[in-house]
Amino acid sequence: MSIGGYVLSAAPNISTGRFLTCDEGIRAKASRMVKNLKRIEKAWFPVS
Amino acid sequence: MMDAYTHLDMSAADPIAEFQLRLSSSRIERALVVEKWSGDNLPCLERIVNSPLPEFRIAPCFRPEPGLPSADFLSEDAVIALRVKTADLPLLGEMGNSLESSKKWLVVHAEKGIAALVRQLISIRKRHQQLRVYVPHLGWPRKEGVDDKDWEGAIMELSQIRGIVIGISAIAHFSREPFPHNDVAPFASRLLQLFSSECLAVGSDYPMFEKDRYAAYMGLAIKWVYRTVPEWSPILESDCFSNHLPPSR
Repeated sequence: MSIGGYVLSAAPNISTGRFLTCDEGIRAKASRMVKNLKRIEKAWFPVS
Repeated sequence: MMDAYTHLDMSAADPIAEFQLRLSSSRIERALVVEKWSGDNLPCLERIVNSPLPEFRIAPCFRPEPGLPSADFLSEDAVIALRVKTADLPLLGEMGNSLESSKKWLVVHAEKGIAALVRQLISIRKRHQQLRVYVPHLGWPRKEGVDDKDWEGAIMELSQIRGIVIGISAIAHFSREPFPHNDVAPFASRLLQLFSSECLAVGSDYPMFEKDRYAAYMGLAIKWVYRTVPEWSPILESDCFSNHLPPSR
């Protein structure tokens, strides 16, 4: 997942339990956050 | 992802092309290009209107004396907002109705501070209940480097007005510290407490900072928004969230 020049990595070497990056719950949360930010974007770019 | 507040670098040979390069190298897909009060970037905004580019929307400045922008210009699809100074809000007149009925946005400017702006917005809301209002730049938390003592009260009032969107932008402008401007982060956190992520936009205020750090500034604003979600906090602070800046030019 890439946001604004930052890359959220899900590389195997970091999914050791210390980070929850690959957890489905986190992904769902991330998805909702992006959706909220996208809501305004869609208002401004309705045909995109 | 969208940059919800940018100007253009008018020192570039082709400011639009230059900014398109910034976008693509930063993985930002779209942007709202706002006219500067100097008007120097207006020819570029007109170019975007005349030859629409799908990644751009524009916000021209309201200039009541010459009556700009024209109703025709405001009705263009690429024009999705009007930038208005606090002092000029009472002069909006018919243009306020046009904005409201066309579902375009009012982008406000707090040249007299956020308290004066909020007073005007409360008044405007009585006349235009459906008007969409975008308050950029963290609601102007500082004036000339000094904390605005009225900011907290004003944004609390602002949070009671329906349909307000707040922009996390112009971070460098309000900071007294170098990047990553940690002294400004608490203002963003407070806004997030009051407004929630549903009423937030992330913008850059390009090129009013180190231009080659465009991606870093967008990433910083995004990080400040996302880290308020408890589950995200450890991720954003960890190695998983790696900063990939475009190469310096």
